[in-house]
Amino acid sequence: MSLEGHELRWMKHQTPIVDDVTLTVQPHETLGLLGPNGSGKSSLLQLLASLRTPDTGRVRLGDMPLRHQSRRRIARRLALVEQHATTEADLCVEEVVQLGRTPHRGPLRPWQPEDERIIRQVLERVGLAGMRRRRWHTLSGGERQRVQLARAMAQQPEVLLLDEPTNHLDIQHQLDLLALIRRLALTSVIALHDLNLAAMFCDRLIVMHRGQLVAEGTPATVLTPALIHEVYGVTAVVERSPHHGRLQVHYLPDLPPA
Amino acid sequence: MIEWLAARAGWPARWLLALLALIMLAGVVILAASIGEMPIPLSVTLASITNGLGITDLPLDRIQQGIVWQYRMSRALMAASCGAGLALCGTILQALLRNALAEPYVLGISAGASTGAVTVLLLGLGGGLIGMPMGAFLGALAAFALVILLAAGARSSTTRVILAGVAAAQLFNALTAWVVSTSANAEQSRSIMFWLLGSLGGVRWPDVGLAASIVILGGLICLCFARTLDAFAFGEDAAAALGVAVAPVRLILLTVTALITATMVSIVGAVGFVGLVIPHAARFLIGPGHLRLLPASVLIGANFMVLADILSRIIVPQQVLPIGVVTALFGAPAFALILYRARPST
Repeated sequence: MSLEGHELRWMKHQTPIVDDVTLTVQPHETLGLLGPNGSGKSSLLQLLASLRTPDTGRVRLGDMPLRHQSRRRIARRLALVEQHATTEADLCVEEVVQLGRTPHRGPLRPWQPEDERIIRQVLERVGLAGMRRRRWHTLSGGERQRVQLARAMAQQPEVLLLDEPTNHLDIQHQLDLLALIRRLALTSVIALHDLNLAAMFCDRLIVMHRGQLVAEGTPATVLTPALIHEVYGVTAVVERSPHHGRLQVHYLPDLPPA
Repeated sequence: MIEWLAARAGWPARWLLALLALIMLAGVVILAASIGEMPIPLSVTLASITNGLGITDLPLDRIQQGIVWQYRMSRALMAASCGAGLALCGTILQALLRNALAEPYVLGISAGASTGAVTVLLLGLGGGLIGMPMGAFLGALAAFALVILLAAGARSSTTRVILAGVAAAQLFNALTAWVVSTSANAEQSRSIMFWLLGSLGGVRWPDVGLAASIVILGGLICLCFARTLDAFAFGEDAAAALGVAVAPVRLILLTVTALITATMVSIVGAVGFVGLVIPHAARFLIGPGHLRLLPASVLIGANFMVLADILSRIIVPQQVLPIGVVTALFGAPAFALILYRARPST
């Protein structure tokens, strides 16, 4: 399932937050969405998820235009993992993941064995099978993100959008989570801050700067010292790592003498 | 034991609990009909009720039968409807606004409904075309609109919603006081003051019919949205991403809430804390899933309110306290407890 955004534009208080962005995500591709804070990454994801309606432009999911599409139909094909999910409700892991079945269930349709099978499967996949009854509020940040990912997977989507899923996670959980998302082999868009993680786990990258798309392509074509300087205002050297073969960005700030 | 049953056991135990709550409700209603200034033996009470329902035709003291059926039964069933309705409203608002402190009274909706009702009653607004329930409904809607506007949509932080509610409650209470103090004579002021604090006196069967049908209808509508309410656990965007059409759902449920609140206020007055405390008690017993939580809140709310009414009639001999005073005496400490325990959003 491909995902396309065409000439997307979204204003807030007369300021363009997303400004004329066109992108295509190929089926089963992992696309990294880069850009500094406030560059419009989250807003672009919300437009792609049809949570906001673009002022101009359109989004297509496969051959389905998203405008005027029922929320439920969209939610069966596209799932979103928010940056920082919070709740007041005293839910357990299982109950959060069950929410993922919402778009597949009518208002009064009882829980089916099929739903149960899916829940068990996704919990196993994210490595939380033994924690079904744990309370959400007792989970660590990494566990919460995995629960949210399991919830998104329970929607059985073809497209997965993730808004900085590795924020606030320690390095081990960042690597685990991204590797897990990669293994799902869905069409996915991941907003990321860490350029090295993006180079490691994404097929292609796009870079946003002040609402506009300023670069697009493979990590090798996008992650150049010139672009990093232009967008982040940071001097950097980029080289291929002799250890894992992916690009590695070395930042060169004014360091104190070592 | 109830908690243990609710948490561990499967569906047969939960149905059993629901049945127990229903039996208990019937019990407290009969108790309420028997207790009062003129104590009436339970056997006479029961016979009066079956006579009133038209099941039996037992020879009874006409006065006793009249008190039980015309006065106390309608009053008890009104209390049950009111408790059920307010608890339902609290459950819905707490889920929709994602706020543990949301309920009609705290959010100023009851205050708005009071203003509307008083305005129609005293100023004759609407030229007799709109009755007091309609006035209360319009007032409730106005308060709702004000709160949502002040809080700049439900996307805002949970504290802002409550602050907006406090502001709305202050404003509408001031408006009510203004209308009452400028337009009512001493006798009217006294009876309105009493009614504003919540009073079940003077409730008649047609009132009960209206309140009960609104609660049952509203409850059934809400029950259809039980799963949808679950999906609001992580906020409106998360609900939308799960396939919920947020704007229409919010509109329908807030309208139902306003309608129930307005009906209750127009008949009983503004009764506080029931909508706040009962949903928490129900959640504590039965968990956060709304398919169970909504019926549990309704049943506990109904039981609580009938018991509160009995208390209001026996605490002070020869005198009936406003029901709102009794619920507040229990509710305010519970409110403080919830406030104290409410987790900061993490």
